[in-house]
Amino acid sequence: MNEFDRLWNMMDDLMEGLIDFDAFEREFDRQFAQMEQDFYREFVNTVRKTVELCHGIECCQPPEELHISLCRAIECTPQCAPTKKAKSGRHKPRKKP
Amino acid sequence: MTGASEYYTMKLVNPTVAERIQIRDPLEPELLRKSREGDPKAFEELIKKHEAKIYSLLLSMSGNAADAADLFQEAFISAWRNIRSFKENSSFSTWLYRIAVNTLLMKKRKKKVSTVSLDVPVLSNGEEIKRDFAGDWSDNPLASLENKEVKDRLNAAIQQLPEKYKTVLLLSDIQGLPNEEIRKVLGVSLASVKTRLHRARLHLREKLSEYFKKP
Repeated sequence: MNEFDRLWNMMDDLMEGLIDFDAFEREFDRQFAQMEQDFYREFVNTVRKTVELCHGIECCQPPEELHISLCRAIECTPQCAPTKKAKSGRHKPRKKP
Repeated sequence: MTGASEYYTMKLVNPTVAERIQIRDPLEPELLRKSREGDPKAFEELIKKHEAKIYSLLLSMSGNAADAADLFQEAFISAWRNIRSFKENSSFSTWLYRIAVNTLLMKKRKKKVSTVSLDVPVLSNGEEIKRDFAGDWSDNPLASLENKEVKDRLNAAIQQLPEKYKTVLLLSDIQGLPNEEIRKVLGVSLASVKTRLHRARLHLREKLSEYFKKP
């Protein structure tokens, strides 16, 4: 595993909330002490900020008339019969005695 | 670590994902049962619960309101028609996302819409990250969605992403789905979800860095 992969694994853990930012920084300092820290810190901070900005984008409600027309369409649409599980065509292996 | 500080840490690391994690609605199993029996009113209740996130996803993916409206109708009608085949191996929400994404991809395949290539400044051997000299803009007060220019750039950068990166980014960072759920929605490996997400985030970061680059 190279340094880039290790950095990404740590980013994964950070973004998934498995480690907090302090723990990330401690591990970052330990692992990347020999690297160009300022550059990588800037990189990590700006990726983190980008993700935070994405989190801030809000979902929007569909227009009211779209909701109404969908509900009308549902009322006159028949349902399909449940699908049956397709047979694999393979024989079950015999258990060894 | 106590529960409260765990929550605080999660808020700190990821301020809105924690808020977006949905606790399964206790009424949902009953609404699903009634829907399977053909009750459209019960299904309408399910629509109300999920329509905002499905519509937002389709709007971001398609890039225009007219297409999003068509896809939205198509996806929910398909869900209604096939709800008796829903085996609850995943949550209803994941199943809906899968239908919505498949509906959209099928439509795009028919139209054969070309996408812009992703020019992420990371070398393919994964050894080096290209410098962009924008500095650390994460603490810049302008780095906020209140700043319309940043918001527009972010939205434009998302629109520029190729389909497979855009889908993962929207599901993860906008809709707040965990990677494991995204894997189920898209039917790809977890590693693939993570890779696509990283590349998408890098692309967005680069586009925002361009904005903050000193003249």
